[in-house]
Amino acid sequence: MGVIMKVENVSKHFAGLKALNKVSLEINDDEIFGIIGPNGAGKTTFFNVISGFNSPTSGKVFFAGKEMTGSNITQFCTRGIARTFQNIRIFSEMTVMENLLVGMHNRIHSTFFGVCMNTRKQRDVEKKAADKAMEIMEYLNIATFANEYAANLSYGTQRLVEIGRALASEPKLLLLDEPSAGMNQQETMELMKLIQGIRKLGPAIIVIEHNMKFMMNLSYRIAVLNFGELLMVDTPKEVQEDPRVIEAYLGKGEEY
Amino acid sequence: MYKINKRQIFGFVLLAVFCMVPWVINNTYIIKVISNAMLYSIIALSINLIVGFSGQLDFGRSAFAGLGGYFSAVVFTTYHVPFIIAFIGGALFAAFMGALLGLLCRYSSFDYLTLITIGFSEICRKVFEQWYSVTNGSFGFRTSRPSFFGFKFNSQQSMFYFCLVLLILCYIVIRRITKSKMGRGYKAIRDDEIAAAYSGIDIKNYKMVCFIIGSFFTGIAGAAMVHYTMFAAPTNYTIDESLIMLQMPILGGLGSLPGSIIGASVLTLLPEVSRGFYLYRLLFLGILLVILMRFAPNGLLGRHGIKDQIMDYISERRARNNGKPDKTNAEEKVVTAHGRNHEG
Repeated sequence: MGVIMKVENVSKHFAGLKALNKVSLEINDDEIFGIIGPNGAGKTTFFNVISGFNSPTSGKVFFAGKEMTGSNITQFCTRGIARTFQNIRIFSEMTVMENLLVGMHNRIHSTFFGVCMNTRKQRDVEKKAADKAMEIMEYLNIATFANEYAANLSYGTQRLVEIGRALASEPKLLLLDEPSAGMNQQETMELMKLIQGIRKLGPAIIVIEHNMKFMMNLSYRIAVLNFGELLMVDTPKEVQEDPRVIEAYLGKGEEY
Repeated sequence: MYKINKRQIFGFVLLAVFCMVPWVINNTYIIKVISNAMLYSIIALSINLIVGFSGQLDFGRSAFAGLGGYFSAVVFTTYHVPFIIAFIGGALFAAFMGALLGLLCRYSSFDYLTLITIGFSEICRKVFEQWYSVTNGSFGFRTSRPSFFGFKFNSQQSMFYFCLVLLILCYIVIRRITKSKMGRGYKAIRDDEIAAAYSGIDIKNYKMVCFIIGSFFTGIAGAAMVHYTMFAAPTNYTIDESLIMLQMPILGGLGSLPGSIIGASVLTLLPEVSRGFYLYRLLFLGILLVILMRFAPNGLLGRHGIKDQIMDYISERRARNNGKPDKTNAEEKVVTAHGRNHEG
């Protein structure tokens, strides 16, 4: 066990708005870490800051033992971060197979010369990548759609394709932004099992979610954000019973 | 090692028939037109790589054809460099200029690429026109036919094969690029830049490299054209020409390589059908573009293009004629399609 992601006093301001205000967190490399909070609490901004989409206004971000503050998305990805999005972002005009192969982008080592000459090495590399993509698709039960255009798939399957693409990059840390959005009870339960299975495969996972039941069952630890500030970090049970959390979600009771 | 399927056999047969053309047809004019269509196909392929695969809009392709052509012709004729070096040099020169523009966009934004290419094509045309000492200005520059190791391509027939081999080579290389990691990267950038960045693709570098590769192939086709007609004039490299070039892959279907060849063939053969048509070609092409955008935005062979629509129509008709079992099948399809819509 060790710390995979460390965030020190990170703030992110958009003009006058303090989307994140001095947040400090440590995430271990063997846990499913949950982030909850009311709308506009800064959850997605937190993801954006720790994956290089926005650089923090102040504070430091450490990932896999190296300071990464100010690095861009590509550098974070090369070092081992993968993420899915709140509103699905897949490559709709590409097949599911190609989607996963794009996820493997940095794991495929081919040279320009090799591509033009279609050398034996190049063919081997492509073959190996396709085999691995097939393996992931079988794990996610989407192997039947391998040659289907992603745009033609149903919403739930597109989610799985997105998760598959993130897994294909063999991440050390997987960021899931509201993975169960738009799913019914049954699908949500399946997704929960899937995420637990993925955790056992290796990557640490951070999940943002609104579905409380889902989060309480899934996460080892939960951080609560409210108006850009970190309210608390604790086990699901403690978080559920904390008066500050209840206040953040339901508001303070007025005293008569 | 290789599995040969029906498609490949069809391709080989088509190629063999095509190789026979210069023997069967003695009319040099027709051979000339076909060769011209093949060279334009290379340009259409390069545009498809830039516009169709990586999703950047480029209005200055003719300038790169001109750069490749003029460079190759001037180096070959004025400085007596061996043809093969001048020829490849022309392509590399076009790629080099592409790299300069690419770098410009790399460190500002690729949103400006369209404007930059328009300006650049106009600059190039003016340079070709005004630099008398090198390009012979608006009188045009005369050069000679290609020659490899003592063999000179003097006859129309030999030029036909020269163009054919060049087209096949370029097609194979571009096809391999699009099927590789690079091609997938380009398509990913076209579909969703943010998701592409989160897959570890360096977007700006990829766009720049794509532009350079495209410029290389445009340059090589431009050089071949100049040596073929043995003449280069600034009027061949105007923005009108760029627009026609851009329309070739759009007509054929962006993202489909065979489509680019068909698009280029149609748009180079049509004006030859009648000279009267040649006068009105811009009007016709404009109308054609509008109609295409309305009814088949993906062209002839693109996804959901005219070919796909016809195939769908035929299979639907067949299902209807076959009687009940297929009919219920079709109805089921409609139901699931509706279900999907509701989910979305």
